[in-house]
Amino acid sequence: MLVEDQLPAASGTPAATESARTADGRWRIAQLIPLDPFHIVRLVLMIAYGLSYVWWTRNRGLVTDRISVAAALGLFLLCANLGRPWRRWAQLAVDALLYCLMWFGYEMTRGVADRLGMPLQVEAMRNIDRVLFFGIDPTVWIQQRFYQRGHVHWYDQVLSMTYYTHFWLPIVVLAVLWATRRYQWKRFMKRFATLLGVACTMFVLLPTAPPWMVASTEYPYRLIPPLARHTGEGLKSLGFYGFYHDWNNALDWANGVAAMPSLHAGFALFVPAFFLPMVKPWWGKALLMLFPLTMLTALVYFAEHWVIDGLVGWSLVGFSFWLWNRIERRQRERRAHLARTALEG
Amino acid sequence: MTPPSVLLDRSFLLALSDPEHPDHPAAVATYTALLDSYQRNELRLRARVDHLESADLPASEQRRALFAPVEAIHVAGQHGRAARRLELPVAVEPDAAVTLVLLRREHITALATFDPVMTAFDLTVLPGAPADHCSPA
Repeated sequence: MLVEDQLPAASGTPAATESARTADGRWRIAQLIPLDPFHIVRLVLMIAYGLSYVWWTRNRGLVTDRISVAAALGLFLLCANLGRPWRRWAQLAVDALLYCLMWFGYEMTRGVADRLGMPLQVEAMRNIDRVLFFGIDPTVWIQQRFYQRGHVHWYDQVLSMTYYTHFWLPIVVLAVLWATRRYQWKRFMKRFATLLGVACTMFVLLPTAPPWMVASTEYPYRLIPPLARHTGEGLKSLGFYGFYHDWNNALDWANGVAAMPSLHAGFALFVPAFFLPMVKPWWGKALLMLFPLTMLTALVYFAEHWVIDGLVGWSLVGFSFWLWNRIERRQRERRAHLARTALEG
Repeated sequence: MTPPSVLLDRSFLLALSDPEHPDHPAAVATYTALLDSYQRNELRLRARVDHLESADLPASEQRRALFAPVEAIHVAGQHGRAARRLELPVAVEPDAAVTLVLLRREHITALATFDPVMTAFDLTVLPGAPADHCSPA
C-alpha cells in the first residue's frame, strides 16, 4: 500500500503525474514545488555580470577606487538577491556594512602607521631570509638565474597572473559565497577578517621595507644588489594593459612598507585552505596547495616580499583557522549542553 | 563543507517541549541523537521562526536553552503566497504547505516531525531514520 493511500486526497487539484513519484511511491518535492520564480533570473544576471566583469577588467582595467568597487559589489549583490524576501535584504545591508568596515579598517592602518612612526624594519627580514637560505638572498638568487631584462618567459606570465589573482580571487570567492551559501560566507568572513585584522596591526607595529626598496638606488638602504620589480610584465604581455596600468597607479597610494606579513601569500593560502576539506582526492588537495607555493615564488621573484613575510602570512592563516575552528566548536558544545540540560530539567 | 540540515517542525517542537505529550519520549530520543551529530558538526538544526516563537511552547528562558542549537528560518510573505498556489496530490494543512515550500527553497530534505502527511513526500522523516540521511543546504 502506498503511503498516501492512508492519507486524505487533496480535493480540486489535478492528479500529479507518475514521474513525480519515487520508486517507493512517495511524491518528489522537487517536481511538485517550484523554486521561486526569480531563481533563474538571478542565475542569468550573475553569469552576465561575471562575464561583463572579466571583459571590463581585460579591456578597461581593474576596478580599484572605493566608489567603483562599492558600486560593482552593490550591483552584483543586487543581481544575486533579486526577488528575495525583504528580511534577506536587511540581512544583506548589515553584512555589507560589516564588510565595508573591515576594508575601511584595512585602509585606515596606513594613516595610523604614519602617525605612530614605528621604526622601519630594513635589515631584519633580509637577515632572517639569509639564515633560512644559508647565507643566500633568495630574491637576488632567483632573479640572477631566471630574470632576463626585455624578455618575458612563460614563467613570468604564470607568476604574474598568480600575483594578480590577489586583487580579485578572494573578492570573487566572497561574493559567490555571499550570493549562494551565506553559512559558508559567515565562516569565510570571520577567518578572513581575523587575518586582515592581525596583518593590519602588524603593518602598524612592524613597518618593513620590501626587497625592491632596500635594493633600489632611489632609497638610501642599498642592502642588496639592484633588483627588477617586473611584476606586471607578464600580465602586460598577455594583453591585460588596463589591469597593468591601474595597478601601477594603485602603487602610488599603496602602503610601501606593509611587507610584513605578506597578505598576497596569506590570501593565496587562505582560499585553497578554506575549500581543502571539500576536495577528496589527495592529488586534488596537492594541486590546490600548489597555488600558495606559486604565489610565494612569484612574490620573491618579483622582489615584492621577503620569504619570511610569506611564511608569517601563512602562519596567520593557520592561526585564524585554528582560532575560529576552536570558537565554533566551543559554541556548538555550549549550545548542545544548554539543550541537554533543558531536556533533563 | 556545509553540514546537512534537519528542519524541526511544529509537531516535533511541541512534542519535545511538553513532557505530557504522547510523542515526548520519541522526540527526546531523536533530539538527543541530533544534538550529538550537531556537536560533531555533522548537521545543522533549523526551524521556522514562527514555530520557535509559538505560544504553545514553554516560557522563553527554557525555550531559548532547549532550542539554543536551532537556527531560525524566517517565513516571508512570498513563502505563504507560494504555499497557497501549490497543487499537491495529498491534502496538506496550509502551515505544512509553507513548511514544504521552505524545505524546497532551503534545499532541506530531512524533517523531524510527527505529522503523518509528511511521510508522503520524498523526505527523510525523523524519528525513525538515522540522522546521517540528511541533505546539504
